[in-house]
Amino acid sequence: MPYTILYIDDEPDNLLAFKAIFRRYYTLFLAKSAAEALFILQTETIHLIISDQRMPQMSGVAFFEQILTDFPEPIRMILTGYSDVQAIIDAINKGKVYHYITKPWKMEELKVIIDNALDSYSLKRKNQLLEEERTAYLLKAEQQEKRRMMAQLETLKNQISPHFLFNSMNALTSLIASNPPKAIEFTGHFSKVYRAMLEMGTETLITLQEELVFVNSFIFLQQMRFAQNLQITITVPTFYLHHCLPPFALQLLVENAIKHNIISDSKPLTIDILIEKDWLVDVNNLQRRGDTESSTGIGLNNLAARYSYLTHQSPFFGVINQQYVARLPLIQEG
Amino acid sequence: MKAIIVEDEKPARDNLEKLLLTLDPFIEIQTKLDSVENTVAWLSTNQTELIFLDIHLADDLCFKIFEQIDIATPIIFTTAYDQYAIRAFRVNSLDYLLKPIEQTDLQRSLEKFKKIKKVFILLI
Repeated sequence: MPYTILYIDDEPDNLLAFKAIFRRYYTLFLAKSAAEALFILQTETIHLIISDQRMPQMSGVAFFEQILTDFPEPIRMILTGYSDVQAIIDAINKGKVYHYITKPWKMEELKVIIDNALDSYSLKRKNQLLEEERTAYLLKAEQQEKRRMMAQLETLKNQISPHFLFNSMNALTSLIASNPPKAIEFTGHFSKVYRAMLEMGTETLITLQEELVFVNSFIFLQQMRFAQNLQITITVPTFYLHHCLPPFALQLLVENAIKHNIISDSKPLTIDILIEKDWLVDVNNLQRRGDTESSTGIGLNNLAARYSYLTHQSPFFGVINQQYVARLPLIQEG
Repeated sequence: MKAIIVEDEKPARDNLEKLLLTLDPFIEIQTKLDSVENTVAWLSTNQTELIFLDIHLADDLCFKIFEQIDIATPIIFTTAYDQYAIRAFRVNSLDYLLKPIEQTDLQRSLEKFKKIKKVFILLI
């Protein structure tokens, strides 16, 4: 892209001479007054402005001073036939002028000055873009760090959900007396769940198989508490067992379904876990508890954030035909 | 003595009933309920002397019951996690038991209930 230069001079001969020489090198815009120049600045992207100092309505320096806030980017140069010290000082201080050229100018000299000015513009611009890129990058890194911390915090909170812990202990207490083999099985599953929570929290991806082993234990514990009031079916073809997902993703969905829905003798909760295309789908009948309004959605937001680092596909959560549906993308590793 | 158990998890319900009967074979468990809805329904047509009330019920927190009906019966709250004690004490709670419920704690609660009952009878 050729550089664009705006040249302002009240004498038409000067404009013509400038145009005749420099039109081969740059895209030129010519203005006979400050007003015309301002109009051009508003419609075109200008890299360099060269202005005559002595013009009838407004001096070149005054013009530069006026456009300083609205158009800070173009490089500015002042051209004048008078050796006017005050104008030079003003040009530098008030108008942020890059160079001061005295008339009559020589073509070769002016060409060098213009090219240097445009190089300087280009460098300034590149520097600015790099700075913007760097700021954006830092911001993104900061956000990533924040999300990572949130994910960790969420996992930590899951590990120590006291309600789950003590209710499990309570269920175990009754099992010990009523059904000792079940109590032993329960303890095994409880250990599996707890170990997984300790070990999988730091991974970013695990296989569906690993997640299912953990989720099955988790479901076993929940079914000991809710018995036939909680019905869960899992249908996953073997082919998908080696697909991956973030750890605890499916467990979160099952836990949320249990946390937010009525599970009673008259209203059992059913959860279906299945595969649709390459998505893991979780469907449950929607019968919200009365106290779900306090739910913050942190868990699901967190899961969506974890997914955003892994794939461009985002999970879906929503209500379809009076059923709650969650779809998780499955990731093929390698 | 008549009592009811309100608890959404069946093993917990059965366990509490068994514990109660071990401590006092003459206790009559009139019904076992699992939700705010059916507890409100039962209490609006029946009388009891003591309520064992889990805080987290099948359809909501148990405090919703008190928004719908007045209950003068003493209540022993049972909960897995101690975060609602203060709310529980605002209603006529007699005691607050943490799960898994220990026999000695339950016994202490029952004795407390019997003492209060005696005072109540003497007052009349």
